[in-house]
Amino acid sequence: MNSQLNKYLSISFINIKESLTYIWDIIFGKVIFIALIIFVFANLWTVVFASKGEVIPGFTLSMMVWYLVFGEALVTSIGRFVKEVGDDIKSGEIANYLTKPYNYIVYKIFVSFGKGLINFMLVLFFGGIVAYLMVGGIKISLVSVPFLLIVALLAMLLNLVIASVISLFAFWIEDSSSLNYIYSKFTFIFGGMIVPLEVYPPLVEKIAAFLPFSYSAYHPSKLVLIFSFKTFLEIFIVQLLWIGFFIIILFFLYKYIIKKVSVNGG
Amino acid sequence: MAVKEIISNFKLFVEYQKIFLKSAIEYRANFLLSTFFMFLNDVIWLFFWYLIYYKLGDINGWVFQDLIYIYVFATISFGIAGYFFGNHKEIAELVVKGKLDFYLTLPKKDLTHILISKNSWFDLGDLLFGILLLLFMVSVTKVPLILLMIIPGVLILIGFGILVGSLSFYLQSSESFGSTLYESLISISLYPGSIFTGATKFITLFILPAGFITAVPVQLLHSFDVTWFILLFLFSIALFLLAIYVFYKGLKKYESGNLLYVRM
Amino acid sequence: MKKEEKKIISIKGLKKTFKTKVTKPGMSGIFKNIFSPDYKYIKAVDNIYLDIKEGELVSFIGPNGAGKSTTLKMLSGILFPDSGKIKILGKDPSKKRKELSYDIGTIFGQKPQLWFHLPPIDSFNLFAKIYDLDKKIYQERLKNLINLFEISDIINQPVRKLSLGQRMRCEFVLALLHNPKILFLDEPTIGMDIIVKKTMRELIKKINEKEKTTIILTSHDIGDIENISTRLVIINHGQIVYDGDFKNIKQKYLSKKLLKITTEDKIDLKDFKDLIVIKKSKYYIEFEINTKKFPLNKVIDFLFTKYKITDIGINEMPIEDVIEEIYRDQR
Repeated sequence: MNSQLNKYLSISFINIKESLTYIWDIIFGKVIFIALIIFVFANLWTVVFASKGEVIPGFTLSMMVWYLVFGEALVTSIGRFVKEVGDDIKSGEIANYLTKPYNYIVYKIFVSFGKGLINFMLVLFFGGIVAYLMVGGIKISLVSVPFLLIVALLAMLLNLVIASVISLFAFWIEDSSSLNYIYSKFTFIFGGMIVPLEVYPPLVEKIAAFLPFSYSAYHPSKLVLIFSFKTFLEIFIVQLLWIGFFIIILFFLYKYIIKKVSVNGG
Repeated sequence: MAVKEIISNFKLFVEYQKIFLKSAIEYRANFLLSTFFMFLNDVIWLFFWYLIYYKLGDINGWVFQDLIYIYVFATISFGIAGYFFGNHKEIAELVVKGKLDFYLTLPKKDLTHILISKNSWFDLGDLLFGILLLLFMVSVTKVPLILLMIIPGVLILIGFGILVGSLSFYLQSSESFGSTLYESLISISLYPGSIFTGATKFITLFILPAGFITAVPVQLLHSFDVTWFILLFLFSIALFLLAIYVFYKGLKKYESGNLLYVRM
Repeated sequence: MKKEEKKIISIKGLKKTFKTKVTKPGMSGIFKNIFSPDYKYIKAVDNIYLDIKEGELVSFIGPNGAGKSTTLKMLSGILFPDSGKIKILGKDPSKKRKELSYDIGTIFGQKPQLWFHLPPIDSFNLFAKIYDLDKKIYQERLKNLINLFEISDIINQPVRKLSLGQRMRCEFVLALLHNPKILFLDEPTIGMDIIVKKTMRELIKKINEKEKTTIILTSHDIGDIENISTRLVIINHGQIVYDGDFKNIKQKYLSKKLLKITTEDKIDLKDFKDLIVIKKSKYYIEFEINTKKFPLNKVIDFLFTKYKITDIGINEMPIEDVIEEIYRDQR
């Protein structure tokens, strides 16, 4: 078990290293774009706050913008996971992985995890610069940092596990880039990556806050801004539950598809 | 002479449309899915804005109906530019991978032929969404002016796409930077124009000219202003001509995919 | 008999250099690449002089990166020369590219021009529009080409369902629709097996003879042009190493063959003592023979009587070796 985990962790590590060699491509290709979106929303909230004051009680202007920085850093770190895995399934490429001494999906998750960590830090850094220049900083108590890191890691993991389940649907729905597109929009909006769910009407807010997507964006991002140990524990537990839930679905779905793939050859 | 050329180019355009249609029929499932998913994507975003406006009422004076106008201008111009002139987004790839060779050995005007020879099913979803919005969410009296002001939007999208794509003639590996710029243009054009003020407004008009695709036309719908109307057309035509100039200037540096990367 | 008088292509002092960035690994390398990249200059074409007459079939042979394709691309106006002059039908392709495109047809081995998922006829119709062909003339021309290339029963099937040989026939028809005087074939045999290559050779010969088309083709494999090309131009490092009759080269340098044999019996090295053995194991041997000294049929006869042979391969010497020998003789 331990050597298994070591094997997968070394896969993540290699991908961190690889991402570092492409770091400028990542910055120019993706991070700048995300920083721009943060800039746009900083503009939006600035004009809104100027005319209406606080939109959500307790959320200052800088909190609104920093919320988006954390959301983007968490959510966009999975890259085009659904498309990549979906393409492998669609093309039958997945059959080549079956002979390898590791599980394909777990392998892919750890690959993305490695790349995602770099992406996470880059977005946090460049997005943070934009946010700081536009609306100033926020306060985070040092004590909360280790807990926040745990929640952040679980948020990325949850996102990857859900994405894995979605990507397996490429087996039936041919178009994996569309799947990728729609899933990411879902986490952006209903996962509360862009704005805190409190901005939405109460009913939408309640449903979205319950759905698993919000545990990879809304709950963790909000925890950074408003920390309490009790909320941390709640989020932590629900994240674990959702991750477990999706791993079970993933397990059976994957087994089913592998069976089909090895029979039909993809 | 010129008329003859336009007619012959139009015939080629029609021939390409026939081919695209046949391809779509050949792969109908994929075609329908791509179109549908893009449509769904637009629906989700508009719903997002509906939720935002539900809470806020207005954003610096712009209400939800203005956002519908934004989406009408944006999706229809994305749709036309992307479906009928799909290659305007691919110039960098054509340059870097040496795919321009095909066009250069053929008699038609290079850029014209490049632009009309690719379509994207995604953008058809945009186009359909925009047309539906136009039919059901916009008062009929506004339709002619809207259609007129979509033209500069299309010109700006194509022109900007060619401009950033042509960077690849001059800079090796500027491919991803160019497409980031183009994506940024698309993104910015989908926000209510009222959030940009001062220097930012200037940037969204003249550096990343998203404002001319959506915000300016929406403003003109509310209060028509001859100066801005003329500026809208002048700017888009100027940008388009500049793009053509830069492309042909860059073409002289074309290396036909002979860029070898030597690792040491 | 071929017309000998009319020059259709003339190349004088042609040069082209590519500038490429040298990428270095590691973090410091990345920074250096962005702010002060190192460049390396590669002379792709270095002072080439060449005249080609109407109706000729010329082969440019050379290793990968020798400058064959670059030359061809400058001839078709895709690339601009750094210096030198090209005249095709009296016109400069870097200035009159569009005019010349009516007289030139091109086939690039790695870049098929047929629409992959549609029947060839759709691509033909498209090209008729691209060349503004008159409807009547086009139909007539298409009919002739369909007969010549025997593709009448496949033009309505999607290209992806056609065999490589069938696809190639259609690619040729596509390139010849506008009745070009000159045909450029860049690495047309790439990725093909022996049988398809043979079809290809027959097609090229047919076009040259029946359509009187002047043809320039490039290949990195000298064996590709056996039996079709009379004029051979060997290019290496952007320079012409040899320009002349294919027969001369064949007699002088291609008399050497590379044989690879797998047997069921143990191989006795004594049988090969006069030959240059390259690789040997118990049941496998690779050796060079000079067919002038040891005629191929005799060698093979001998081998088959002595051994139980399970596999045999007879290859031309690689072009690099031929070039090396030419250099040696010139010195």
